[in-house]
Amino acid sequence: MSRACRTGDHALIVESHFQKPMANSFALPGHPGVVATRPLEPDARLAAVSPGMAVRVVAVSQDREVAAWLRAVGLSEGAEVTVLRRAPFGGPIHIRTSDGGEFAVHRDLARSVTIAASRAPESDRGPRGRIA
Amino acid sequence: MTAQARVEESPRDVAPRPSIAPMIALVGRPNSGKSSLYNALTGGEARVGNFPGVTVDILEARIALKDGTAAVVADLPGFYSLEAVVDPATDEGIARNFLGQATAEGRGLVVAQVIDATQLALGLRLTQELKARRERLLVIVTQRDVLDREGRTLDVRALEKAIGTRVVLVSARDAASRDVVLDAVTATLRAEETSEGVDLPRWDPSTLAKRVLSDAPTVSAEAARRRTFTSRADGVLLHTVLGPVLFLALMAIVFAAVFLVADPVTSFFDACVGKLRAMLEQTLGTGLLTSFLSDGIVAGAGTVLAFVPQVTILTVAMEVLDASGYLARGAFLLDRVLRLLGLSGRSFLPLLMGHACAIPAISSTRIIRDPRERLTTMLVLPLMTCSARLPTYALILSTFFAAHGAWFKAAMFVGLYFTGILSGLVASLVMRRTATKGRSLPLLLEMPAYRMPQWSVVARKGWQSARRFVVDVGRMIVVVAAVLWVLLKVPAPGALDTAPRGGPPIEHSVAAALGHHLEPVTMPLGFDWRIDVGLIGSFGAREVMVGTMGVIFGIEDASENPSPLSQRIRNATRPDGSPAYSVRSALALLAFFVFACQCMSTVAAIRRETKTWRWPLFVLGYTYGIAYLAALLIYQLGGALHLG
Repeated sequence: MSRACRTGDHALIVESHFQKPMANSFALPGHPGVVATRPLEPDARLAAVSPGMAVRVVAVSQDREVAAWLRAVGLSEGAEVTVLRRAPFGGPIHIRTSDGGEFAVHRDLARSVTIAASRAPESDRGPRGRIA
Repeated sequence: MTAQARVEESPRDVAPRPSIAPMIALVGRPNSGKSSLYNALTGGEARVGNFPGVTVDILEARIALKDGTAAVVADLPGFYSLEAVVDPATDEGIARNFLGQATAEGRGLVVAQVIDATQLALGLRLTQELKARRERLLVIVTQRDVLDREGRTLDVRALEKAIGTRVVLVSARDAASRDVVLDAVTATLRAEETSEGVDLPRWDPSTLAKRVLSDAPTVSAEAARRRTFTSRADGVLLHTVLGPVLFLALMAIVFAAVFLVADPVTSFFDACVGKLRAMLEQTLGTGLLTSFLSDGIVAGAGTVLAFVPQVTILTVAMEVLDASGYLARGAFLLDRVLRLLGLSGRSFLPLLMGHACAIPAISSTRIIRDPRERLTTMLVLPLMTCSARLPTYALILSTFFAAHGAWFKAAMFVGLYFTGILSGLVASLVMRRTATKGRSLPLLLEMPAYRMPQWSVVARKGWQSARRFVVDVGRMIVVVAAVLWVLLKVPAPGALDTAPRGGPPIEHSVAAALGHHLEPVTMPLGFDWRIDVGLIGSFGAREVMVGTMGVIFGIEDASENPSPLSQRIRNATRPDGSPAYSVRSALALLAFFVFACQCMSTVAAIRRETKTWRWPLFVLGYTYGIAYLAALLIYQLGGALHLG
């Protein structure tokens, strides 16, 4: 199965789950949240992560200058990232990094970010770390 | 020290020249609170610094240090990195260039990095880069009040020790912070360069931030409130359905404010200019000089003033939206739609505002971080249907489509608006692949926490934009107004002999002579010399089209009451007695007005923002080119279809 096709499938799943996880997800910091348990495929991309999931960035496949810029902004290998929501019409993805930054990441960029299951302990998932 | 000596030594070893005051360069990530700190240090005073090769405004102000010596504070654009520069025109590239030049000048330079205490780890990444560059560095951590309220503490000593740099913790909204920062600046200036010989930083920003920043002993109510407020607000403002609706509603309010609030102020300025012109006529009589001063210079200055309220209101609105953190949300919501056109969510607001007036919209493109996208937005803005086109549209519609009902005219108006939008989108799509093609910034946008804008900063930005507009754009508008006055009012050599006697003086003008010369070029569009004169007159500002046509057809005050003018235009004949204009020449003229950038103020504003003549001339060229082709196509197609 091609990657594009797989991403498409995920997008469908995500749309149908979009409203519910966000509706009542205002847990306080340190409050036990629920890490989404949907298994991640190997070589999964940030673009396919459902809202509410916490993941770890494994690689960013962009050219060197762009990757360096992304690292400076706060998105690079090793970063713990929580996906908060997706913009309507297949727009950008709203994420929060463990350093406390929140970003809108365009789909094309999110497709170049390889992720794996989060390793960080619960308390490390960002200062406002709530997980749906 | 002589210049010769400076060249021989490496710039690093040069002692600060006494003639140049040391510079405090404020740097930091976007939204790090730099503007607030700048305001606190300078009291809001600012002038646009003159730095060669820098294409954005870098504000600077002179301040007195505690020991009485002067220093210059420069407010650099917010940036994330100095090492990773994707494009020299981005804020990153500008900052790197600026710091490089300041170092080369050999002046005392303190790089004061502003870090938001609530995002310490992110800020420390930049600190690491600045350390690696061996800048004389001072770290100013702001938002102390937020930490205090949350019961958290920052171990300043431990942080200083870890990064080997002086650190101060302040709150930019606190008056005492100015002294704290200035003391630290003086100390940093006096200190030997400690970074020499020190190992390059090996600390990890995230780990260090966790180590020096204590968590609250218990989560206070305040901390919980702040931490959840942004999440809670985002839950509503970024909601799939509600989010875009609220965004559009907010944009409608801003748009209405630009129109409605600016209107009374503009009329007031209008009245003042009218009084001044009347006074001129009373004191100087009604000679050619009075006309030049009154119709040329003062009227031109009036045009400048008329735009000032709009420019100011829009700047203030943008600043409030940006500083509150909402602008990034709007960009997030609309990004997808605008990506289709090679733009991003940040372009939406300028493009919308272009429908009121392109001039404030062009300065508002400063919110677009990507330089190519910003340029593209500026280049297509003149195609949006600004309010100055409406009088001409109304005149043409009521002249040639009077027989059709109000609904028909309304539909025509809507069609004209959409033609403008559509052509702008097509133009941006084409430009992103041709004139402005190139790599864009990575598609990542920071979403800052919601925050109350600091009103003194907002007021300063509003005041600056008004002043900048009057000084930079205004000068050019007045010059063009003067030139057009000469064209329209001064008799052409020999014209008095050839033109028919008794006609209005405009028939003997240079513009009329030009109009006659242009006739062969515009005949295929259905325009005769009279419309050509109108087009020459409206080259500077399209809103004068109706008034100019009124003068040509000998109607006073055509702008206030255009119906006698409509009558005259309908009855106008060619020298052979056939009707001069038809429905298809009317449609061709409409098309011309949709596309042509008949607005020197817009051209001046683009020149102001791009700091080159290349792009304003490009805009003139491409819009007039399309305008001509569209009018030609419509007139000729209309002829083939036996229309009117």
